[in-house]
Amino acid sequence: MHEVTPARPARRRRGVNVFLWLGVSLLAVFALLALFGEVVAPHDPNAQDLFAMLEPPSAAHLLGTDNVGRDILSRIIVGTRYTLSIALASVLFAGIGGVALGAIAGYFGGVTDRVVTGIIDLLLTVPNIVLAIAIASVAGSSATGLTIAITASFIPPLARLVRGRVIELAQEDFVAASITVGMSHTRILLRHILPNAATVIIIELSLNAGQAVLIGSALGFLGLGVQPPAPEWGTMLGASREYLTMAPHLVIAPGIAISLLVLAFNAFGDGLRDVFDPGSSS
Amino acid sequence: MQRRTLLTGAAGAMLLSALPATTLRAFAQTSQGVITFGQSTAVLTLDPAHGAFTGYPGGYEAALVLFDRLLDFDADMTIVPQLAESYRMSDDLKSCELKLRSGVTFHDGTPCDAAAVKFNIERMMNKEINTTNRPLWDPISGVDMVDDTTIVIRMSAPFAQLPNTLAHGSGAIVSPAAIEKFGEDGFAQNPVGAGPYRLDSFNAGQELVLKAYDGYWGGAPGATGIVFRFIAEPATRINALTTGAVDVIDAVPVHLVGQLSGNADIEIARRPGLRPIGLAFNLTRPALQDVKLRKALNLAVPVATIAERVFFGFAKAPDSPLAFDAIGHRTVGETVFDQAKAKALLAEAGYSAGADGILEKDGEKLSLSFFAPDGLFPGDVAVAEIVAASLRQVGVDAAINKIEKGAYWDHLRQDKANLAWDMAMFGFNPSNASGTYHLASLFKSNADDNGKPDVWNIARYRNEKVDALLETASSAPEESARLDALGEAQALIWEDAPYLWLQINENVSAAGKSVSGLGVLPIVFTTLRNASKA
Repeated sequence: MHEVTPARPARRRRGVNVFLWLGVSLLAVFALLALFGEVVAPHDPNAQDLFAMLEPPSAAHLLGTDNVGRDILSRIIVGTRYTLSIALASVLFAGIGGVALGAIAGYFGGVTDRVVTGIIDLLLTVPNIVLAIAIASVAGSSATGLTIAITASFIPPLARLVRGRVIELAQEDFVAASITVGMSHTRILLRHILPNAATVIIIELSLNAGQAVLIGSALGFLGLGVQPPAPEWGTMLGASREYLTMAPHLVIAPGIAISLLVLAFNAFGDGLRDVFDPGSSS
Repeated sequence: MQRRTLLTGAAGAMLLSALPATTLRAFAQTSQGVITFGQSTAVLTLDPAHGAFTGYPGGYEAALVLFDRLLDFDADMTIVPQLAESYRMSDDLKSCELKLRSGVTFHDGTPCDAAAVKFNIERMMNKEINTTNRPLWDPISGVDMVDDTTIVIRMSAPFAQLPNTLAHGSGAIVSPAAIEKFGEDGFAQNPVGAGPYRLDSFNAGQELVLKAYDGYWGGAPGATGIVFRFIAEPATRINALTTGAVDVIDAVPVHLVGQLSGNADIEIARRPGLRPIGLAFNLTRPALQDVKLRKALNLAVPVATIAERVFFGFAKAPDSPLAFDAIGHRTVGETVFDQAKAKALLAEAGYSAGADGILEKDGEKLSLSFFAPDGLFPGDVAVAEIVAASLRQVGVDAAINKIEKGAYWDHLRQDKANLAWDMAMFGFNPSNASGTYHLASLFKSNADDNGKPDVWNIARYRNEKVDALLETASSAPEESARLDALGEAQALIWEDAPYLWLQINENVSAAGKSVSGLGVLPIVFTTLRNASKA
């Protein structure tokens, strides 16, 4: 049995939390690019030059140009918005859906629990990338479709995690006390149980965000992403793989961008865990 | 909770970029006299009926050497004799007498005579047995045997394209004894024909091994055998060719040709295809009914530059609604890139720029919904992006809607109420090389423009003059009159611009220097019929 995690850590770890700061600073950079991409980008991300296509990196185009002569650096910068907003939106919606389902199932138990967990277990048997592909092919190629697909694939594992935590917390004395004084179920859940489960949820969500970037890019790579000419990283990767041998820079740039963003979310998540839950780190 | 390493995500992203890499099988070096053909599509079935040769075009390529047909196309898509020594169409184009080569035998030793040919044609006429290529076979109403080497094919209506049908891949003559032996269901895996190569072993989807047929009427073929091997990934095919694991490959992506052209041991074979790519305009939309708008859109796109730059010169701008090698093709115009003229035409049509730079007329913005598939036509997404950007330069908003290729045809062939597109990328491949068949499929008026198109007139083009000319082109007794009518129809359609004409791509194959006589037909197929290996 775990101890109940306090809402704030009793003691901070000694020294600087490298992961957290790495994650936070990388995410800050990406967030700025997402907000001010058009201003920062050296070129119009959609401006084509058919007489300057597949050019290697140069002073004019720091990351070279793509298969229709667009500046890759500008596309990566402006594309941050798509990748980041899809990841954040899907994690947000998955958070709402997963927490609601998990909390209801875990708190009320009985038939409600059996029905919800039954459905979740069923969905858990489908690998999340497969589920996401299935949903994206029905929802069509759009940022909304991608978000729905990723959200749907995250809800089952998250709901399961939250349910476990809520069942654990529901045994605690302070819950029993709340029931004795006649608090409503809603109030107990919202005011007492969920705040105590918050750290687990936040850490899981920040790690999920990294996963969301990967799944979103994979779907974009498979052609289920945003509509052209939007510069989404996975789509850029997919469109340029044909040119891998003749112009490898087309593949490398979005590949590195995806890796960095995933790294940022994972470092952030790991760092958060170290802060909130020092006991669990090795 | 288990601790995750930071690297998981990063490694995942790297994996993502390595997704296209396929498993490379260890290839044995090819043996002397046997040509190994690394195909981009697998050979699955080898029966001209029951869905025809699949997959496309791999199955047809195998069929071209396994079976003989009554007539054949030569390299320039002219019709030449094969099992039939000669043929004569009647003046009313409703019957055709064919004189067959005598002494021809199938691979199983049974004679390929008039009775066998009659059996074959009647088999292809049967809608239950032969479900595909119906427009090629429907006009035939019967076959009469005059003697052992003479047959007469009768048609229900004048049908000048009969020779094209007989020369088409589905005109393959199969052994009636083999159909009897293996059954209608079993023949596709146990094909027996009268071609220069016979079946040795067949592992559908992976490998087909043929060996030279000693009893072939035309003498021994150029190789002792042919192995058809399915290699899906272009880069893998190219590696297999450069290492000598295969002798011939097809479907070389144009951006990879550069890798091969520097290699002295490899020869490139290229040929413009029969499929002109274009954007069909949805002529049920009032805005697009204005020919000035359609012409302006045509002027706004740098088609020649697309052919030169995106396809590295392995494509050409069209000069007619038909591709260069289609039978009856005539140069009727040229693609011009002139955005100033496009703007002038748009102004003439009553459009003026709105606040955001997008043109509008009577308060309505010129926004076109532009459907394009992903991976169905060469470079489709890149071309779509260029078209959209070019149209934007003259003030036309074209929002691309990229559709998964499996679902694409459904979007194109819709009834009027469900047509979601204003422009859609499309290309038609006339498999019998007939220009009349091509134009009739795309531009003959539909019976009902509100329903689904009868064939492929998805644009809902309607021009009585063109209908009349196409009628003449398929039924006039004189060949010259038919060709004239077809030429005139091309000119009228080009002027009406129901399409934004894009490019005609080349089919590119490659072979090692030890192989000679490799042919690339305009109808996609790479043929090894006349190939030999030292």
